[in-house]
Amino acid sequence: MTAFIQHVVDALSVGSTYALLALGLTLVFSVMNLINFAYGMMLVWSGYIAMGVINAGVPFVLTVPIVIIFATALSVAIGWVAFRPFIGAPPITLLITSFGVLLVIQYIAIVIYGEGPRILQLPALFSKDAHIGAIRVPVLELITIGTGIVVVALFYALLQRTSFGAQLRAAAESPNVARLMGVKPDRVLMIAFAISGAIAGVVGLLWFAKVGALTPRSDLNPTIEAFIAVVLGGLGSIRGALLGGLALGALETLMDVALPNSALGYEQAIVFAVVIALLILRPSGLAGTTREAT
Amino acid sequence: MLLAGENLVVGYGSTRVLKGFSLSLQEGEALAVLGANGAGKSTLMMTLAGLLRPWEGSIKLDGRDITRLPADERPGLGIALAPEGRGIFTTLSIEENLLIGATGVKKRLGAAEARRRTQQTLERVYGMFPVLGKRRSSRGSDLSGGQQQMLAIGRALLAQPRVLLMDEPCLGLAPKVGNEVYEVLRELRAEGQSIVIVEESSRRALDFVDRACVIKLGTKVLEDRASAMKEDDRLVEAYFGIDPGIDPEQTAL
Repeated sequence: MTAFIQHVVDALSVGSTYALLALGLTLVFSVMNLINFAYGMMLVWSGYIAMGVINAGVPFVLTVPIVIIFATALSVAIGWVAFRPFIGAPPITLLITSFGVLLVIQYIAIVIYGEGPRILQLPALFSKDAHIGAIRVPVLELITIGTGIVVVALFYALLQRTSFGAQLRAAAESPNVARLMGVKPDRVLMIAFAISGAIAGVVGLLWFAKVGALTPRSDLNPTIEAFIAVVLGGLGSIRGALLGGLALGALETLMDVALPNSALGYEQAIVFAVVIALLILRPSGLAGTTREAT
Repeated sequence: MLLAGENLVVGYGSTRVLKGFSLSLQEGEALAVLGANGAGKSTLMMTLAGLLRPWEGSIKLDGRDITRLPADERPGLGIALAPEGRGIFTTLSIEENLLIGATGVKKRLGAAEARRRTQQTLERVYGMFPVLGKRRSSRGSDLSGGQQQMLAIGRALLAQPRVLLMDEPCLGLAPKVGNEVYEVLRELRAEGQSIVIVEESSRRALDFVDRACVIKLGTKVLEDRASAMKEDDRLVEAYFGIDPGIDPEQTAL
């Protein structure tokens, strides 16, 4: 029983990270149809900024808001400069633009930090375990789950309880009718980029806190996991992003437990096989929708 | 003159849909633009609302040129369109659908006045359409076609419109529901609301507007007072291209 609870906590921790990743990615997609391949690099940059701030001796409690503010500003800047001019452009244009943005911000990171790995030194608390009865849970996992709950709750409150949330959902569903109501698409898009960036800041910290080191090419894994979660849940659906992230976390944890050692190298292939099978059975993903910000 | 469109040429790709169409609307007046399917009525409405930019011609509100003003700026000036097909946001609740109509009001009236007027209009819309009040938390997708049309009108009213643009408000509705919609429009008109309505069916529209014009293949072919047009054979001729003096029996092959 203890082992089972331990696995559930693991699944929730991994799933929370994936759910947040997918949330940030799908938010911008739902408003602009943009599949943002540069999203993973936002996490990497958040990691580098965290590293720089911590190395400069800034207390960790201040590091978190600094990283979030930086990631938010970077995301808005990228949205404004690279994507805003292409509102309404065909998806392929947006896709190529996002590749361009990925390369630019990746090579800036290579120029500044080099190709080699850099260590992210976090407070000792992050590598400790918490004891809840007979269960031993890494503190970082608890922080990840807690952060996931808080971010999702804040996000839902913003989306469902504010006039901006209504404007965002309206713009995602029918941009032209939203414009007829006075909703400004570029303003909605910039706020979506800001929220997406803030989430990237949070996930960047969590992701690299777990991994411990980063390189300018560390974006690949989080990008792949985010896309799998988004596709699994249903492209463009916020509920789907959360579901897809949690399902992916559960699936990976289950494989860690159930697969023999010799098969662990095939984990990623098995995940893709499950996604393909699911898409054959439910082409619009777990949440069963393709285009609504719900 | 409250609203004036002059020599509007509008199209899609290389196809011209409006070919030099003009219209004018006085404060408190109701104008109907009548025409068959494909005549250019919805194109005209989308142009006035800013979703389409004219190739030639101009649009003025109170004498101010708004031809190049984007669609999202026009509700702030008091131009509200209830679009064809109603354009209800299915993922928003009924109340959210209504309140989003008030997005541009703050800029025009200031925050405090906008809040007061929005609340007042919201209550009024719930009074006009009690079903919307009862189901204010339901999603827009849960409503019938007629109820969605009520929601579209209510949402346009939340914009505190100086000009209310109605694009075929009864399209796809049962005749009884269509009559209810017109009942509300009559009420609004009696209160002095300026309205431009486009319609395929002329009878109901002519009963409640001051003036009407007929659009055919993007060109205005007739304009007159509604009362005169109701009694006039020229409407049939303009609308269908049939000379009312000719007996169809004799011309049939």
